[in-house]
Amino acid sequence: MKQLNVTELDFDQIKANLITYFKQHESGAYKDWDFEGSGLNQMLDVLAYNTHYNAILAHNSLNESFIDSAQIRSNVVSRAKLLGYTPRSRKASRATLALRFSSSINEGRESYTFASGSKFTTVLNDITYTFITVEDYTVQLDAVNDEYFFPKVEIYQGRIKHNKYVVDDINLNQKFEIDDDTIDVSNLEVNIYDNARTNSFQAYVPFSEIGGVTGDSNIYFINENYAGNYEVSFGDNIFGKKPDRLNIIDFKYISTLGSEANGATIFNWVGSGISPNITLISKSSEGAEKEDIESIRFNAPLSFVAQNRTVTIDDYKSIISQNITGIQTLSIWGGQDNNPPEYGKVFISGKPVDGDTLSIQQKDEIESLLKNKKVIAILPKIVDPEYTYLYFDVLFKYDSNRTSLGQGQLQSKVRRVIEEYNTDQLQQFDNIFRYSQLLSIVDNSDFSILNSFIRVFVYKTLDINYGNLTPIGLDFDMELYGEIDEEESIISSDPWTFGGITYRLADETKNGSINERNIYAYRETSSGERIKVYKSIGSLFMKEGIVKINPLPVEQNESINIYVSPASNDIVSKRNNLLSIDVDRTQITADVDTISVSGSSGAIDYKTFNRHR
Amino acid sequence: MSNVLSDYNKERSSNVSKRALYSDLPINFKDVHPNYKDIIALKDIDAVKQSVQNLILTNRGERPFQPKVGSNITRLLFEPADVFTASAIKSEILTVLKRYEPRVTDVTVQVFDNSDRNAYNITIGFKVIFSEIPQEINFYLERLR
Repeated sequence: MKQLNVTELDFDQIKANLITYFKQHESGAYKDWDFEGSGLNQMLDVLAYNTHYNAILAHNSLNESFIDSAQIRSNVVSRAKLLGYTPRSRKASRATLALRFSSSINEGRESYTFASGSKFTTVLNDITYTFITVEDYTVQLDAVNDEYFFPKVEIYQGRIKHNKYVVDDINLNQKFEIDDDTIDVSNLEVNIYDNARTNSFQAYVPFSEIGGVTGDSNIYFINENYAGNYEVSFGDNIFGKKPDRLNIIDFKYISTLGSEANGATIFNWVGSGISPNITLISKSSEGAEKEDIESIRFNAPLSFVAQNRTVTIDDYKSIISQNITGIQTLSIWGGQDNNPPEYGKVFISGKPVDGDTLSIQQKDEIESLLKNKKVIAILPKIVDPEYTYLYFDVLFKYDSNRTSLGQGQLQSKVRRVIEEYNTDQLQQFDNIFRYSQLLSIVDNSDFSILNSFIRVFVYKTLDINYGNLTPIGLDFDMELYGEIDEEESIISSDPWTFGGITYRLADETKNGSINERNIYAYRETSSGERIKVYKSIGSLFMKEGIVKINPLPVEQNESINIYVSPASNDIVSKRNNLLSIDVDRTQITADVDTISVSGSSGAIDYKTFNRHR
Repeated sequence: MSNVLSDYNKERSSNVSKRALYSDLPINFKDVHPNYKDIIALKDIDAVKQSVQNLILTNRGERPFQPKVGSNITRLLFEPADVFTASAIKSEILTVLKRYEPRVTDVTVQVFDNSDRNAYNITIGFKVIFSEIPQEINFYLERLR
């Protein structure tokens, strides 16, 4: 039976199948299918190429039909649209300032309005950026200080632009497209004027909830179109109000440079007259680029599952990351999983892209965002991330015959790969430091490295506030290495000074206790002898990894690091803990492998690495 | 797994002698059977000759997904017309026939350069494996621009 296999996609296989098929015709007119120079073979090229081309086309078309596999932005956006998801636009960087104007700026009148559109400039990396206010701020005269004081003025990077349309009801397919990919949609104002000669307008708001929408509701719908621009549409007088013929639609928005202007701290007022006294409340942050394809692919299904409500952990993650920009990683956990448990709460911890803790505005935004989406009686609580720092003794043997690099260069190379591992793999919530993974990264960092050994240490920073009278604690959240009746101290600490004497912390066994050790503070004599000064100022719980310390004698606010060895080499970050490698504190030692270099004669001098320091 | 079982020409009589060992489609589509109006196939030695000619006049990269098929003599026409280029042309022809045309043996190539006209006269002699009769193909290669 003559058969043609039509399931292949590759050119070579399609052509081979065609040749096999034609060769089955024993009595056929033509026979030279196999020879590259034959006319038949050239004809087969055309046939196979055409089939291959169509197969690729069909394959790509099908791929573009699904959000998981689509590669073209407009197709990803289109699939996301079906899930009710509008991709995030570029977002303007925002800073908050406090302004003090002398009363003379408004001739001492009772109140003063700082108008929207007021400009400030800042310089970042030798580039000047302009920030503007987008609303009016009005305050009363502070007669005591003879000034107008604005405690919180928000300024946005960019400039205000308008895009106007006249409603034409003859054109049934009229599109209201904002042809500007620098738009920050979160600040879009849609105002509809009755006609071109009036100044009164109706403000429209973005549609968010079906409940309460009538034919008179001033709402608009926004989505990204095929060209990547935002397109606004209106209701039909049944669900949302429809603009009338010859109405003027005015889109007022901020055209912004996005994340470029993040991190500015010094702002200058651009205006005539007396300059205000400017105090920075929070530096510019939250500026972001337009949401990219991968982010849309990730967020759209989550947003659909969450249905604009925060119930599960993923709902919180999806809604916060969709609406709040500038967050690198988020951790959410229920109060029941907290230590100690706090029922009825949900804990949120976020690390911003450009800092260690979220700004006050970001926290405020998260709280107000969740207000109408959370389950009643569940209270969101935003906590700052806590850092657990890892540092290592990295020891490795290398064959000096296999590399042209010197000992120091190899050590630097290993330090670089550890830095990369820190940036790429750690510094995310719910993450694990996998010991063997790092070992293999070190082993593979250079061809000459034969074996490696790593000693893992951990530290956390204890912040002691001057005048604080309550005990403070550190939770390592891991079992610590050592026995409960160990003679040596389990912890060690940075020094601090009080009354001209330098103190450090250490611990010892506690009589009668099987899970707790006593922490004391000591000073060292010039001969290195330790003299206990504060004999019992805290407790160490080794199983839980908890350090509790009573108020310490300090002369000022102090931050001291407490160092421990973990019982396990694998370290898990839980809740709001973030793992980070302190590369500067990490010691890297390269040692020539004498056996590989000198053969069996090198075995005599071969030294292995000790498990402990 | 889908299979296609159609065979449009199954019931039609062949216009090629069944004794022919090789038969190929003439790519100039010139000779048509007076009754059936079918293209008349090239047989045996003619089929091999066409194949040799095709291979030599095909530039590398011209055939889809087969970048190695063909010779580069067209490119060589733009090199200085001297004995070195003539030698390169000869080498190209020998290589392509060795690699892609197993039906020819005893290949000899003679390249006469006609420098005044930037052209080469090429004569290829060979035997087809099933015949002892020497065959010969002549090309006159000339730049068109």
